Amino acid sequence: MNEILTFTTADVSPAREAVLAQLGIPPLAALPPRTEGLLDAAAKLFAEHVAPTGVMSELPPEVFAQVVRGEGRNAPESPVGIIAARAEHLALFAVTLGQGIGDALSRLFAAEDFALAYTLDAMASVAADGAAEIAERRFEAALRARGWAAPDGAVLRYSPGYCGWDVTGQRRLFAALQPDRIGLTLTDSCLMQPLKSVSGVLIAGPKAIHRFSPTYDFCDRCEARTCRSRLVALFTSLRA
Amino acid sequence: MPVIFELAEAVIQGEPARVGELTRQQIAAGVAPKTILDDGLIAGMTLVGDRFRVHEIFLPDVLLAAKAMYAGMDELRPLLVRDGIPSLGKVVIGSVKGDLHDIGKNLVGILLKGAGFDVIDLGHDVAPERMVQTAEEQGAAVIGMSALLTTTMPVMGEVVKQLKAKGLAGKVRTVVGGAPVTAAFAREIGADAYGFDAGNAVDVVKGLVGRR
Amino acid sequence: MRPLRERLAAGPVLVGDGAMGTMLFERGLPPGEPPETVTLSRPEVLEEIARLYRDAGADLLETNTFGGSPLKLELHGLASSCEAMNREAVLAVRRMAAGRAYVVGSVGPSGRLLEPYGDTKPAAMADSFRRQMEALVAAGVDAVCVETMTDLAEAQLAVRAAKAAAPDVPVLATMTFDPTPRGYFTIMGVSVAQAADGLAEAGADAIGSNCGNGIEHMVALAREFRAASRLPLVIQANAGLPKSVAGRTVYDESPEFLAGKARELLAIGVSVIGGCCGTTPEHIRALRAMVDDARR
Repeated sequence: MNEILTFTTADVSPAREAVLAQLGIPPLAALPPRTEGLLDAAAKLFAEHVAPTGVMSELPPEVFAQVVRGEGRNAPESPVGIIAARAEHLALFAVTLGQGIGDALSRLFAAEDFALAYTLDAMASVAADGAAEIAERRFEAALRARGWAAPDGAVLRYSPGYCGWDVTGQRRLFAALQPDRIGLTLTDSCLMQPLKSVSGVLIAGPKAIHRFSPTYDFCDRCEARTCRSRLVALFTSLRA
Repeated sequence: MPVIFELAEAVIQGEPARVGELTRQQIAAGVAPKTILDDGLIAGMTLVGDRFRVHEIFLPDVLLAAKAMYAGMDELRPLLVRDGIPSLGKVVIGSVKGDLHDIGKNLVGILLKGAGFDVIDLGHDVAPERMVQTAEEQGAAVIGMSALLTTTMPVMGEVVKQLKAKGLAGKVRTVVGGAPVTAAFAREIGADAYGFDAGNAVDVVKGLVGRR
Repeated sequence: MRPLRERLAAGPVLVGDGAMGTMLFERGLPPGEPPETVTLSRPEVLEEIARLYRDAGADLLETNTFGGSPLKLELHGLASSCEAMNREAVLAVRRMAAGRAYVVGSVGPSGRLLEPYGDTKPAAMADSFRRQMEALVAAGVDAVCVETMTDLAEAQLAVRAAKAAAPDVPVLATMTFDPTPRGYFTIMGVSVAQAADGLAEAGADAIGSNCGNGIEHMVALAREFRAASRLPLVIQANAGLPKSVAGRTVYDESPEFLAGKARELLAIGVSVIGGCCGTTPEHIRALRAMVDDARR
């Protein structure tokens, strides 16, 4: 399977609560009118400038093992390597919201419209992540359609820069996936452009393979810590 | 309410037009520019910071307040220059070479200005030589560096090295921050300080300047 | 039957039952459907599962209430059925236990993250567990098993809710650990020592680990628990790690392997030995035989 992913604006438009959470605003009973105004204005700009797209490419475990090795800078023990080794199916993926959002953000900062800039930035960050989650679901749907039966199967994504997969791993990933076909490029410092993009690997297998404790050295430095909520969502269901 | 308090309140409420108007009023009434700055604009931003810290208000509110404060600063700046009133200090900020992330660094810049610093924002993808040179030319007290990639963090070490080489080590202090940056890394490269988030970075810069 | 509390303290070793999920899948539970739905639609399935484990030699029969707290049920819009689902699940097992085995109310995680990681407040989570515990106790469980927990604060809330609902009903509390380069931790970063202290402090009568690992890691976990606590210990192991064979998920540790290695748990002094994901009545039969054999 090797395909371009298409998304509608609605697909990637994030939920209010998620944007508020990203801004550090807890679920309040009532938002001040001007915060509502910011959300509305940001949503308009988002819809106007977002151009979401993605790409997904399945590959055999042996090939991924080469990709993930990257430039040899991964931590000696890395959940990604361990989990990938037990995967049933793997696909490289990349999604992006397009350059338009980034340009809109630059303009807002230049005009010193900080509050709107930050709100739009939060919206875009949540949306990029949401697009990646859609990629997970699309991969799972494609596998199920092909007859993947595992009742306790799950697809989760892992990206370079996290979980012991060094950020320089982006280079091998890009070489293998060729996301320039969706306008995604990599700087020398391994930064993706446009900025609001996510790349990585989609790993399909029994839920149990995705379990790990965030107690590695690199976990101490991690800002994201999304592993916790992902794992709780995955594992506090059927004891099987 | 004394007008100076009204001014601070207008900053807190994020009302740029009102801040501009009240600032002009105060200037016309002959209030000392430094007083308008300290007791009106900076006082307002300080309260904003306090309320933000206890989660009474949130980031968008802080940013609207900052924008409002700028309106007052625009009115005051010519007078501050005329009277030779210094800012709290000059701070050069930038995202290091290879890094195009702006947001965190921008927030630090906004909050530093709100606290009364003179901020020279070199943007992103800034070469170490440019940071050092600008700091030297501008007589900056602090260089603030941001990196969001582990691949670009070493550039921060370069800046510290170049400052040492030019004999500026004690004169220009360095503070580093960004998601992958840690206090340990800051120590490793010999930076003077580490800021774990934008608010903390401002506190740290205040501390660095106070120490001079 | 002797009171369970006595058996936990003085022995002989109790054999727990095995996996519920695979049994339900095999009997028509659609993937993605919460297991608790079977309780009200086809309680005879629960009776059958309990009977199979009872006849295989289990001393403890767990109820199909793992996801039965209202917070968890709410994720499927089923919170209003909480009382009925918990009650009927207990009654189904009681009909089969009939004096030959203890009925243990299974209580799993709420599916939410407590603040500051998530946005669920402790009071809300405590209340959710309270509702479930009251239903289980009213329906007549002999014990409650708070299990597959990874967050210590949540586990403590559940244990306390059980104790509040019925101070005299023994509470077993087990957490799920992963082997990491730094030692065993739950996905929330809780160590064995922390778990032992925290669960005891909340009032648990027996503590230990379930799920996540095959028997060999569980033996190591049992040793760590023994070193950290004097309370009776509970170990319910997975039948190894899941693998996909011809499109089906298969666990790779056989009944003989499980029972053989589980013998070490007796030496460590574990009070309850049972099975979790991937285990079958065959695994329980093998454990029963091992335990009986060791007593001779």
